[in-house]
Amino acid sequence: MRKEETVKLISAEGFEFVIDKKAAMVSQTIRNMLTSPGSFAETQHGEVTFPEISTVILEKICQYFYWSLQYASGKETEQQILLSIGSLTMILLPNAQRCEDCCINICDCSARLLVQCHSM
Amino acid sequence: MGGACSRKRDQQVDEDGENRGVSGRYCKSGSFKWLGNSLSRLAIDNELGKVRCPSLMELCIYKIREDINKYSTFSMLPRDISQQVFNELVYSRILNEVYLEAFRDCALQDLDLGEYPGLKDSWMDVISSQGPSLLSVDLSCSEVTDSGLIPLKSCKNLQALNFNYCDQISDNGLAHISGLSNLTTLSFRRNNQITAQGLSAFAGLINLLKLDLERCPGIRGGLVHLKGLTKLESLNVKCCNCITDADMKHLSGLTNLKELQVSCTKVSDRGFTYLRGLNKLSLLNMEGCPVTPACLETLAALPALLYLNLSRCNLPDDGCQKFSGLQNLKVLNMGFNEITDACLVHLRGLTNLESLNLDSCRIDDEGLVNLAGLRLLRCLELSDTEVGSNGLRHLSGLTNLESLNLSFTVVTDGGLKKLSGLSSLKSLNLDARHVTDVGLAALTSLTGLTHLDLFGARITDSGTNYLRSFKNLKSLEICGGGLTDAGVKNIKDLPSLTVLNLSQNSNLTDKTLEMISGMTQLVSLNVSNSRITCAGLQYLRPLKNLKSLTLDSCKVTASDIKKLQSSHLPNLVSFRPE
Repeated sequence: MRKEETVKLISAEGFEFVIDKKAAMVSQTIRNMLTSPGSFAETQHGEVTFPEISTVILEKICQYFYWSLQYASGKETEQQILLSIGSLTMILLPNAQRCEDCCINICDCSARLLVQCHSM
Repeated sequence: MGGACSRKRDQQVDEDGENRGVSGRYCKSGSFKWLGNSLSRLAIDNELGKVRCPSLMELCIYKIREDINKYSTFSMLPRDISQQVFNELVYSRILNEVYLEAFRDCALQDLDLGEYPGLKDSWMDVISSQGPSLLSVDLSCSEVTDSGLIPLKSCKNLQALNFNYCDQISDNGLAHISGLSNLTTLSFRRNNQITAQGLSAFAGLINLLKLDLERCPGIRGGLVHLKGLTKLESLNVKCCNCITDADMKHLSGLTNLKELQVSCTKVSDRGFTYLRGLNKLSLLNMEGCPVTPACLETLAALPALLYLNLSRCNLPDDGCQKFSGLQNLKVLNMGFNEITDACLVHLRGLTNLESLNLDSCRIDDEGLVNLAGLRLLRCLELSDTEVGSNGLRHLSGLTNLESLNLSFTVVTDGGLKKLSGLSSLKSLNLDARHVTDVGLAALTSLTGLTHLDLFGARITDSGTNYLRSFKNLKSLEICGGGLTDAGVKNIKDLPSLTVLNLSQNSNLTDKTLEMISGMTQLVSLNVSNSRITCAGLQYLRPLKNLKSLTLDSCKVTASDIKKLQSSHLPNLVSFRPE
């Protein structure tokens, strides 16, 4: 895989996920970060750091990106991803929407909500 | 964003009777029109032309729905998220009294439980535990009684309450909500128990903007208690047949009223004079009221009036010259009156009209000349009139027309070419026996048509060739008896069709269903009175969006359809034979 076709998503603990750019672009937020005009670090290096998103959640999110590409082309079913979400549901839930489609600062939001959820 | 973005109250509390989706107990008619409002998620996605991928958020919520037994409380979730979990359980009809307990103290804002099965007083404790967060509650069609309303007292911030069809709530129950002074919307449709005494509880609801008491026959004399509700913008007392002229007096000070529905009451010309001074009134529905043309003088003095319904008022021509004073009107319904062409002369100057209904009036070709100048008309209803082909030439300049109803007129093929230039037309009703293939051929330029009703028209197989021009058709009815399987070949390729009625064509066979099997976008299908048999049902299996299927008077039984429903058609909600 050529480097330009991948992006690096970095979790709060510093864990790096190298994924297809196409998959990452499922998220409107990440798409904006990577394609915004000007010389933002994200655009230039193809890296996005999420200081408030834990590794375990970021992994699920990456998994979702790939699943949704497959789903759109009819190769995956809803049931498959539901199984994979499994016991993480309640932790994932408050982060999910922000990570995908919110245009506001993704990190601020998930931080606020994660605290509430971990206390469950 | 956050909480705000997931809150969709405006849609739920949208209230205009005409626009609201009707289902279940609300509407017993077999009409397919309600389907538009109750399309499943799947169907909506298809309408957008692609399969929409569920968001991670939605997936998590589906997962919770699947594992709902594992959760005893959602109160630690942020409010906007527990609200979405709640909405999903309601949507999928999984919520019951046990699962409801998990939502205790969740600070939910909207509990849209209209028509929810099993809802009763014992649910009200959890409902009211949302406390000051709770903004809207819909309990329509529930078994909730007077005592069920007691806990709501503590929900001081409630803005919208809906108790339509709650026939166990009486005056005593209303007393419990009398202190909810933040209420802006209150609805109590079809309640036989409420009396004037009960309405006295509304006197303190000074922030009320919208009050709906449609079909409450016992509120005689009760409108006096609304006198002080000066913020009121919308009042509906439709079909409260106890309302008389004396009641109208109490509305004269409600100068913020924009909408007033008093149809099918006993209010006469005198009662309507009390509306003088309601300078913001823009919608007035007086259908079926015992008025005369004398009331037109009052109406002409209402400066903001745009929407007027005068249908079924037995209005004669005499005195109708006063219509000329209603020049601001955008929408006028005069259907089912005694008026003739002589009255239409006085509509000439109403050049702002966008919609005109003359259903079943005694008008004919001569009268239509008076409509030729109403260039803004978008909707014209001429059903059941004496209008024929000669009159249609007066309509050919109305190029803004989007909807035209000529059903049960004496229009023939020869006149239809006069309509061929009405390129804005989306909906055309030609349910008339004199219309044949030849007439349809003259209309092929109307490529924007989305709804075409040829119910009684004598369309044959060769006529269906012309349907290929109408690529945007969403609904089509051809029920004149002249179709065979060969004609269906031209229908099966219409790409947008969701509603198809081919009933009364007694020569159609299972072959028709075989051809239809590729029309996976279909939501409603009717092939009654045909030679369809149980063996043909297999071809309907791919029609996953089908919500309504009607095969009356065919060789098909209810149990055949039920089998098909449970094995292949999960979205099917209405079928016949049943």
